[in-house]
Amino acid sequence: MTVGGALILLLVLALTAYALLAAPETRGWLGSRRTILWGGIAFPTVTVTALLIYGLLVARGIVTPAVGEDVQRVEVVGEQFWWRVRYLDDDGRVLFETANELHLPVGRTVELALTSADVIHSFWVPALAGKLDMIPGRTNILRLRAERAGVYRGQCTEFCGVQHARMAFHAVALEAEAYDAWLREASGPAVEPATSGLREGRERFLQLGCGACHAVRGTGAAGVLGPDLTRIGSRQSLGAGMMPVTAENLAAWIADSQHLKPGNLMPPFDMLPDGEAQAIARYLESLK
Amino acid sequence: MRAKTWLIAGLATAGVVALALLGAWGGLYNVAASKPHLDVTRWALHQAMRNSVAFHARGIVPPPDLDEPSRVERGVGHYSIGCAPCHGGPDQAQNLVVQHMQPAPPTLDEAADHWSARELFWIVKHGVKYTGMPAWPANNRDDEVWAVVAYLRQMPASPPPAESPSLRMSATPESCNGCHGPAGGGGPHGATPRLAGQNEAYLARTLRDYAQGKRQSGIMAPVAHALSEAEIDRLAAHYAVLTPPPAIAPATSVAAGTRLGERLVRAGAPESRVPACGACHEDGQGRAVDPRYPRLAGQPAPYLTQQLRLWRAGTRGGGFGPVMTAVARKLTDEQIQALADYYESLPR
Repeated sequence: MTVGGALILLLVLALTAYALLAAPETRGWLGSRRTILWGGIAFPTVTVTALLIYGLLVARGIVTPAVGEDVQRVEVVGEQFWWRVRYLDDDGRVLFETANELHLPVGRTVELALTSADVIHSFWVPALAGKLDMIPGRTNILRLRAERAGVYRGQCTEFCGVQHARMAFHAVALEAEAYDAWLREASGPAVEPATSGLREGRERFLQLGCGACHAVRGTGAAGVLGPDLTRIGSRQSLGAGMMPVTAENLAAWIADSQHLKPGNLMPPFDMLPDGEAQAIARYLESLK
Repeated sequence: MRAKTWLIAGLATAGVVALALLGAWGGLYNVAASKPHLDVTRWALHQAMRNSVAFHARGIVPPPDLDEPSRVERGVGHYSIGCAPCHGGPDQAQNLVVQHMQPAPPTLDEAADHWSARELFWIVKHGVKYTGMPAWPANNRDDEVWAVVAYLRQMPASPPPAESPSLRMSATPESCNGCHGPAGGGGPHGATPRLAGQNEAYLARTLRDYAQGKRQSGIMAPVAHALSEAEIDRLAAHYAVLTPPPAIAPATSVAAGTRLGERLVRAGAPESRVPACGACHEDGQGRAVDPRYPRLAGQPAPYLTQQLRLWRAGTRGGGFGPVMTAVARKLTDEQIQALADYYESLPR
């Protein structure tokens, strides 16, 4: 297809040069009715139609759900301004939920069911596949496959509100063995806090009511409005691609996420006394 | 000829200015309150005031349920401590000192005959310049101003609460109970929160928020502002250990509403981004509530409804204000009523 395109481009350039440089009496045939009918109408119609048919055939393979094939199914929901990621079993049941991060096995097809909870977003990992819109009330299927292990950056590519630019995520491609290990760990409950300081952090997290919006599996926190935090400490980023997950960044986010990412749904907790946000942040950072 | 006319006009103007300076600036005008205005001056000033109030009050629309009992109840309490010291009241003769103000504050038992509801609202909210009538201390609490108007409209008929026949602002529980009910157990119509058994840390923070202007109220802010730190701690400790009265059994008419309320408390309404109330407050299943959060079980529905509306409007500040504002913004009228009914029916 590349060769064909290049040939057509060369032909058009050559004809342009000919039309400009050749003597008026020799280039006259270019304007004849016959040239326009064949070169201007028939040729583009045939090639573009052929391309359309080819494109539709290829797209069918990308967007139709696979049947009986060994694929990893994942549902990704665009929300203002983060990504809800749900791993599904073969029957479409939710295995577990995470956020702002997509793990995928190298060399195996991953089938993404893309949708949106609020406005139109668009899912794009440039290194892995083309973009596909996430539309409220509709599920778009995107199939992709990572050929090499690595971390690939993804980005929302449909303007979705004030923090559209900071709605990013990471796709982490793992070799088959590492992926299976990750899947086992990720689907389990959160790790138990190891020290009394971390236990205190968990206590504060639960008592303050963080569980109203966030879930940490294995604790009482089962909120569904915000990102699941079960393994927040192991994630690539905080705030959907904004900054690394450190206790300092987590504490700053808790105290005033509206300062860091204005317009996100989390209210500021700047009224907490010194040390409380830090204790919660240390607990969250330990959730690996 | 023309030059002469100009000269005369100029001299006359200069004369008037000189007289005005001599009279006002020079100290000749007598500002003594002991000397009443001339009748004609009083008439002109009063008429100007009436016309100004009528003009500025146009377009104000009273709430449809203005005379609702819990609203009147809130007005009664504030009247006793906020208005009666100058205007007198059904149980309280006008203060003798105040009677020597110029103009002297009128008694208000006939105020509703002379002023429409919206005019009363305007006067209570904005005050009147040069008369000593102050503006409402919180400029975003129209609900409180309407409460005072509601009481003024039926003042002669409804005496202040029996608990404390002549309320005075003071740092004693007796003073608080005047509005918050015997032993802080709430008034008969549920206008005010029940203080008995409330979390101590929450009570103390609330009083400090009022005193520091973080939470707005023309009723509570002046009360809290007058308290010392020690008095705040003492009052909070006093009410925290009192036993609250039993919860109010829900009327059958609101039973369906309480079921919706229970659902909101346990699970929220994820489809409209409302988190579960029970994640921070009581969940009806014995969850331990952070002592900095208010206990809502058994609080009167009219009070809870009022507060949730303030949260939703974004005019209710205070400690964890931004958190509750974010939640309440998404509540519908029906959900607010259901939550209030549910928490009212929940035993402590």
